[in-house]
Amino acid sequence: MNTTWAELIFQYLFPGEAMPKSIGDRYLAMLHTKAISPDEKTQALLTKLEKAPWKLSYLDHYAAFFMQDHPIRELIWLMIPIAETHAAMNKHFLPQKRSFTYLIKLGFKGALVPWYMMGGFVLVKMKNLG
Amino acid sequence: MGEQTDIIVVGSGPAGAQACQTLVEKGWNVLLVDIGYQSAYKNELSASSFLDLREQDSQANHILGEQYEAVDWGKTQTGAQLTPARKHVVKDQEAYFPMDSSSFQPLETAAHGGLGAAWGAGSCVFSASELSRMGLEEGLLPEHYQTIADRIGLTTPDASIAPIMMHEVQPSEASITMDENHQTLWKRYEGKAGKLAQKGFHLGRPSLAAITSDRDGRKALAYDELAFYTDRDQSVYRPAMTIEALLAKTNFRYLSNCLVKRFDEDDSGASIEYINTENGARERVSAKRIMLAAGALGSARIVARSRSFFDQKIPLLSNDYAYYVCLMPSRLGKVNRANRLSLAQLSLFYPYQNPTDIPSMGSFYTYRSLMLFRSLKEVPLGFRTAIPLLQYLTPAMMIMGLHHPDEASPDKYFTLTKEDHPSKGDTAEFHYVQSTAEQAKIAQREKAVKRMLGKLGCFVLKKVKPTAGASIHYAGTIPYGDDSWGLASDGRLQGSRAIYVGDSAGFRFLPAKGLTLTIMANAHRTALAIHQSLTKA
Repeated sequence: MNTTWAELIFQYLFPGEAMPKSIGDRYLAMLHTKAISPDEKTQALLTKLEKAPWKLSYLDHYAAFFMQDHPIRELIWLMIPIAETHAAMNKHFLPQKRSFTYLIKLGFKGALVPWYMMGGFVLVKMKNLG
Repeated sequence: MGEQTDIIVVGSGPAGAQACQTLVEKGWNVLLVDIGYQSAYKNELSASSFLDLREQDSQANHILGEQYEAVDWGKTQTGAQLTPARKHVVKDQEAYFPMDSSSFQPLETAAHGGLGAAWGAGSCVFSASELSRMGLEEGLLPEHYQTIADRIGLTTPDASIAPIMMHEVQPSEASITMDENHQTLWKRYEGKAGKLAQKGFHLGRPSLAAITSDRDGRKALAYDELAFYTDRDQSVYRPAMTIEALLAKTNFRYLSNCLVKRFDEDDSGASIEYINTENGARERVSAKRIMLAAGALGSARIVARSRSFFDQKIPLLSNDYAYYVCLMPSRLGKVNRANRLSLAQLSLFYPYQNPTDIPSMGSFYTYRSLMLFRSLKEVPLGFRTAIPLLQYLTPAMMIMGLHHPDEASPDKYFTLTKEDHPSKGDTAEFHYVQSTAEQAKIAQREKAVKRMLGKLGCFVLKKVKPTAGASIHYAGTIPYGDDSWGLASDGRLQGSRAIYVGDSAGFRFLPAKGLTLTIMANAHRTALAIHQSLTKA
């Protein structure tokens, strides 16, 4: 694992935000402490994702439903506890008052989920990577 | 034999700590022996609340841990709720208490304070019918319950459940204050309490082993969501507090880093053999009396090794347990940062329609994105979609943990296989299977509880059923009775003169209600029996 993955995943989770240095360092330390050992197929998949990072969202949604223990989910998920407990980032996670219309907006966003999952299906199955 | 004392107590958990206090107060020289791991994150938190901590502490060591102990991938295991401040409770479990089972996953601990170090503080008095089934005669425990209640401090439960939870015991502390989620549920229950009670459903604020006003150097509950996760203000009772106070007494000594392997008896008294976990040396210390308080599983291991009771069935009880993720739609989008308590704020009992009934018990906790990442893992959506969704939902979510009573059967036991390894324990192989009738009864109670909660506007979204053993309530491994593998009514091991067992090993039946208060009351009773036996001798 290298700095590029940390940056990629941060940009996927928090698009448009600058990655605080301390999250990067701590995230890397965490990756080294909790080593992920992908097999050959998974490593090939991760290499492809590094070259085309926009496919991360497809794979994330597909894996969330069909491949819950996949290393890519673990990679993304390991970022979240760091971000959740970091002063600059935790506004994404702390409980805040939300209106019912906010839920409706989320629902519209959620309608895109099946399309993302289809994209993930193509990425994984058609390329024989999962 | 080696060093001599009056009484050796093995185990620093709730039973051991209370027994030590009783015996020290009676003037005996007491030696407490256990492994005794302590937390690396003792009382270092400085922020006023968990939310403030997350906003101010950029490193969040106490939330995630220096070794990222809080971040576990893979399946939810027993003890998954333990934050870094409590992770020492599961440290080296496999090394000292090796086990082998697919049907039962116990938690045995080497922690200072035993399982009491991570206790949820729910405190219940068992009824006469429950105690009778446990092998304890009527009238044996009530005065001992009050002694413990006065020592540790208990909050007052609501009148709707006080007869079930506290019986005649008088708590010293005022009731806890609920957050808005629990208040909403409680108000709805109040409006229907009469009808629900007729169906056997009772809900109310529980009695907790915590204080709501400052006393004896301890501070009142601060409602900062940290009460369960740290001992910073000593608001919640932990056995380590009793041991800390006893260290100032000249007739009390504490030996940690000791894995007790066995005991031996002769005409002059008894002795224990232990392994020093720091240097691996085998050492021995003797006494006039020995009290085993290493937990139902730990004490049974010691007795089995001492009597060469290998590869034989040792009975086992453990409450069936599942937790339910619930949603209160009326709380969606609403957030409050006040009265945040990480302990149970409401308890329910079902079915209970007369004093001889033995109910199941549920405990409610607000799930507040305390560590949102733990629930994010379970959501079947991509993380970028799941994060805002859970941010909206979690303030309205509650967790209910539901325990059911357990009774002995031939299909609930473990065996101990002898190992010749110099420092680790013998391997316990567990076999735990519920009968069809038991499963049906549990399913019926679950269904009734879910239906009743629905009437209160609290809907179960998901049930999470951990492996058996996840309740962390164990009992019945050396049951009261006349069998050679059993305990006399005063806690003395059958066939011995100087060995007593003061934890839950003797309970022949396990009610669903939290058993820690009963364990402490029974340990106090057993300690008094030791005192009487020594006084007569």
